Amino acid sequence: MDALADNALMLKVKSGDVDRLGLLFDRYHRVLYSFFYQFTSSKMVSEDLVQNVFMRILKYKHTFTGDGKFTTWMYHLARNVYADHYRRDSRLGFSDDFTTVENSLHNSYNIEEQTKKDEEIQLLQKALNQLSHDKKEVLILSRYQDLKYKEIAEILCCSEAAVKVKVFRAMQDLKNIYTQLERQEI
Amino acid sequence: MMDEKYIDLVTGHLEGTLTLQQEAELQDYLEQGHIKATEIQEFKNLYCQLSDIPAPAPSPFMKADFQEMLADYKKENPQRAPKGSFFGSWLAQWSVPQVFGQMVFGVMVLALGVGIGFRLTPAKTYEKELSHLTGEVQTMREVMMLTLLKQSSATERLKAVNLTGDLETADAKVIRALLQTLNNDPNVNVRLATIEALYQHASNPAVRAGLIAAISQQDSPLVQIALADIMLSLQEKKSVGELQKLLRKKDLNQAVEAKVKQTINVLI
Repeated sequence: MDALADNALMLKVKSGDVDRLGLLFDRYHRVLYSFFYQFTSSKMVSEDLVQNVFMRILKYKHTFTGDGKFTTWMYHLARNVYADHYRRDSRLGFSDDFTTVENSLHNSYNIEEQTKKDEEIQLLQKALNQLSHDKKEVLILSRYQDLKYKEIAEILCCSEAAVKVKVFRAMQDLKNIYTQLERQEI
Repeated sequence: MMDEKYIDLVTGHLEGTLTLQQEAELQDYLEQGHIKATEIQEFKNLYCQLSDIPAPAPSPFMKADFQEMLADYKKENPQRAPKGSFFGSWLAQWSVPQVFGQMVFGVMVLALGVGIGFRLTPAKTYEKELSHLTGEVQTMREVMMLTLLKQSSATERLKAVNLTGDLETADAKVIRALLQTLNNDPNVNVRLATIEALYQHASNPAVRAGLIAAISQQDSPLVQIALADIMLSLQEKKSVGELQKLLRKKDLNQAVEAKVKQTINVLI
């Protein structure tokens, strides 16, 4: 994606040409959807959260300076949207949290048609869902959203070295959980 | 458990951003057994597989929902015209591209400025200004012409003479310079061009007198014939004396002689 073009579009939105947000929506609603889906495993909730991100973009458009990348700013808003959603649902006692996600995933796959690779990926998804939120997030941003450590550092407001530590530890945990799950399957 | 002192190498390996030197370093640690090859391979496999985890596509209604949200927002927050641009919103209403809109706006402002300028500036002042400017241009041309006439190159001098064609009036300084060129320039073409230039100012008695005086000083048959033609054209009877003087020259060209005789006969 062209960061300059993104920024130029967002600056237009900021100046009042809000229709330009449609182009940014076309570019980023899928990646945002997959970002939220990894945490919620709910299509509806993920769609709502994506919608919320774009509403916040409109609401806080005046805070966009154009100095950094648009995507960095967008992920900041996305993380806040998810944090608010998680806080609200926890308060209301909903079960849409990290530990119950795996159940919904089981239902979403047709077990009969699973190949060996599908099983591995399903196992990996389960392992990923058992990671703490921070560790899961850093892996999703790095691998799923294909962001560089430097970009993740900007989104998480920390140093690149700290991101590397998080990735390293997340991978260690993921490997351990995956190995355990593999043993249980056998 | 892998030691955390290898974090940079391991994460760089996962991201694929290791330099050649770092790759070699990692290879050394693997060979020495500080990092287990199986362990880093497992890391790499899992890390790569993470991107294979499927995510369902968002529903087609999402875009419609977004459009609805945007429409609501626009309704609740009526769009203000960009700062200070009444014409901007007016043009936007007609779907005119922004750059074109800016150009049109610029032209309109310019036209308005010129209009106001004409209204506010008294006609006499405007004419005075115009006349002043014309005078300035005339002076510049004269200066350029006089400078070029002093050049050693015949082409440059020819340009200088031709410049006088653009002069509405020629002052004494220009006439003097042209007559001097007619009498002294070594190049025949320059002298012929000078005759043409002076002819345009023939209403000036000084020019006529200068042309008449030049007849007996010329040695080029082409120039002599040209001058005879001019005298004929101007019906300048005062030139008869000078033309007769020319006829008395010993080595006079026959064609010139015939032309001069014919001219004298007509003028008398």
